[in-house]
Amino acid sequence: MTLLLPFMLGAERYGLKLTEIQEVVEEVEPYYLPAAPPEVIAAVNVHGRILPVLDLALCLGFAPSPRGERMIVLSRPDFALVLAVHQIESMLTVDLEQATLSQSDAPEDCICGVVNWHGQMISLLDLDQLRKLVEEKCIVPGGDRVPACTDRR
Amino acid sequence: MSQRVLIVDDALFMRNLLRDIFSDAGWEIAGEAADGNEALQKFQQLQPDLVTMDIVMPQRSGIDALQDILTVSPAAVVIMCSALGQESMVMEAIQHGARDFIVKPFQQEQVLEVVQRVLG
Amino acid sequence: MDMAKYKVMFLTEAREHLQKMSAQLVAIEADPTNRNGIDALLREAHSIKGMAASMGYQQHAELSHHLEDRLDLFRQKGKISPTAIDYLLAGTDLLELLLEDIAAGREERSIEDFCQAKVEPQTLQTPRVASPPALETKLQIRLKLHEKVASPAARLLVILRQLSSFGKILQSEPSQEQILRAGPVRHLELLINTNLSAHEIKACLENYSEVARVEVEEPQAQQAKSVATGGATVRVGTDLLDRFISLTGELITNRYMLQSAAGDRDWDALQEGLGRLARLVKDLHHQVLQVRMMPIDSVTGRLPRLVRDLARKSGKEIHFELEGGGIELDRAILEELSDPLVHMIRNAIDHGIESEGTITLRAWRQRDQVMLQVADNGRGMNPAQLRRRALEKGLISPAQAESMRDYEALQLVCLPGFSTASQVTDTSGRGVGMDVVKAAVEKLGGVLHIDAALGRGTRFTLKLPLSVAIIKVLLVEVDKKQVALPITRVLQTIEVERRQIQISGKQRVFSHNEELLPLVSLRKILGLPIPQAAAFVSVVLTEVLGRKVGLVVDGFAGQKEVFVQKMPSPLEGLRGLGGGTILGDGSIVFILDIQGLIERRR
Repeated sequence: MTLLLPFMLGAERYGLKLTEIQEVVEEVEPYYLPAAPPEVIAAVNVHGRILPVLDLALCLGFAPSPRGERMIVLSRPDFALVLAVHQIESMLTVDLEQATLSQSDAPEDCICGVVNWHGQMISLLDLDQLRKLVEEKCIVPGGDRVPACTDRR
Repeated sequence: MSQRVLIVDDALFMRNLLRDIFSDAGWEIAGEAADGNEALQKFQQLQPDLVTMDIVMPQRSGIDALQDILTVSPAAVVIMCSALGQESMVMEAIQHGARDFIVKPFQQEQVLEVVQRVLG
Repeated sequence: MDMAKYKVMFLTEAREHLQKMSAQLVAIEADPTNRNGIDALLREAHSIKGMAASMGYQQHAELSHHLEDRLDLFRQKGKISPTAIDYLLAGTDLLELLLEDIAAGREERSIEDFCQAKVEPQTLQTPRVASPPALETKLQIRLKLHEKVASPAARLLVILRQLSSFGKILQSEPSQEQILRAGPVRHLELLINTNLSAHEIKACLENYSEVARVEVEEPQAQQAKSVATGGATVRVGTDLLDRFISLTGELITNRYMLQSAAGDRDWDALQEGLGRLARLVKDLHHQVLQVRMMPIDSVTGRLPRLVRDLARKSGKEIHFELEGGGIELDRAILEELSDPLVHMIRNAIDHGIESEGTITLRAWRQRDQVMLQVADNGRGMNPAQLRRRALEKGLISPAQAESMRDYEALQLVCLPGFSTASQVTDTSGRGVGMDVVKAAVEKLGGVLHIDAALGRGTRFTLKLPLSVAIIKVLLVEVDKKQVALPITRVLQTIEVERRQIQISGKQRVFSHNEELLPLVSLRKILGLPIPQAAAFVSVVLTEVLGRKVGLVVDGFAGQKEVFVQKMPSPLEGLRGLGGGTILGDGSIVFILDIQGLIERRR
């Protein structure tokens, strides 16, 4: 059994494994991060570390909706980032063996599997894909002309 | 008893001008010297309360004479007479122990102010 | 011969010797017949005496001589009694006070009482020291000469001379040397220690008809401090200097190689030369950082003494151990750590150890980080109790208290306002909480971990970067936000009148020192909204691709020395961003690389 933190992006429910999360921070002050692609909306001070905040909804092409006050700090050292999402829900225990693992034909969706939780579908966020996506946006020459994300509005 | 000044300058005009300024203010003119060598001799001989010392003079310069005088009498009160453009020499003299300086063209008030300050 | 420039060096070295002396004394207390220890003490006292005598600090030289005599006596006896240790420690304390006098430019206090005292503990716990002459005060003087004064520098020199006959001049801006060199200076600002009153000094300066304005007042505390601290010095090993020289040699060779390759239009040779240049510059950077490295010992020297004194005061028996003192860290980091270390040790003595125990300060390297740990084997901490206290003080919600893991509960002691009044003791109750320690560590880009087990002690572990990049930046405002520019990239800051700005082709230009320079808007570069231009625009003169450019900003917000954090992966590749920094208030400011930003837009 695995602990999963579900959160909402628009009307869709995503999830991250607890091991992928360092912590959830609340009401942190966002600071201006210049020269960043539009998806990277701010920087926050998490215990003295400067971490960029990624607007996950914007990055994955969802319509903008109000962001929650709580944000997710990822635990991977090579992906030091804070995710802003619409709303974070309470932790679930799921059986990942039962999840439908997808070899997604659309890697920019950043989904590596889908869990059925009592009839509700939770998409597992694929951090490797997300990292690639963010890297591309940062390294594109003429970085402020970032190609638009797939639009699913 | 009035105070006594030794005036050192190679130009007669300047000596006369200073002589008038000091006399007017009630000073006794102890003596005059026209170059650095003479300055030391006169100083030892006259023991004045104050020396006005021109900087640029033939033979021995005012800065050298200043040093000579301070060697024999470290408490001597010497003020330098300078012209515009001699600032670095004035500063050198001050470092060597000159108490103050006056700048040509001399004005009575300026001279007396400096004198008042260094002796008062 | 002006000894002033040796003063800072003297102060640094004398403090080091004193720290070694007191550490050695504490060690000898546990092992009073240690001959080598006594010999080492004698050597320290002797060095101090020599330095102080050659600097002409009489009281200091005399007291170190006195201590040396006493030590020699003990060497002949072969042991030092505990009473004598107290006496000698009090002596080193007094030597430190004398150093403070010297640093502040005061007359050294008298040591007569101390030297005449018999070696009796009760009279010696705190040395009786004469305070400096009571009437002497520190005054700040600011004056300005009239515009048309002839020979203004010479005039200032006379005034400076006159003032120095009134007391000791601690600081003067411009200094005497600057006055001697500089041309038309008309302002003088200085600090003087004198027993004349502000009124008397002012009256004297008003006697100069050349003086247009004069103010004499008592300086604010902060200004006084900057005088006492003076410039910091660093000792550099000669081998390191040799390496600098050989690197310089290689750079010169490299320059010739590049010149001839460029002359021959030999692109391969040029490539190779550039590659070599890159390696040399990197090497140079590395070596320069080495100069900043200092062993941890250099800030822990006074800790054994501190532990001894605090243990005595609290009636506890405490053993102090130091491991890994040779580990090196950037001196800027070490300087910031010295207070937090003291605080953690005070904490361990107050709240950790009950009646008897050991405090260990341990340092070790872990990849490119340095770990520093203060551990005690005392009563530990109780997570349940910490949760309860934080809840009572309203620092956390009941839900948080419940979901909090034990480890997290231990970190609660770092919350501002967590320490309670009942905890305030003579030892650690100085109004500094663990929150200050945590903030200091994080400011350096480090992390603080606390772990503890009930009844088995507490450990505070600091994870620190080996070195920090410290640079000076100019803070500028754009669109109500702050960003920073490395000061090395700023040629000048100017206010340009709107009517001085012209349009040439598509480019806005302005004339500066008879040069027409292009204007670039920082807002535009950053994609921020462009407002209506005001009557004056603030411009940072910088260089982009070898050309002078005026960068238009909304305003200037001062200069600061900051610790630069690199951008974390995956944003490290972002062009135009030179890293970020956390300011004293916890806010984040990013450092811009203007050339990178402009190139990116092309």
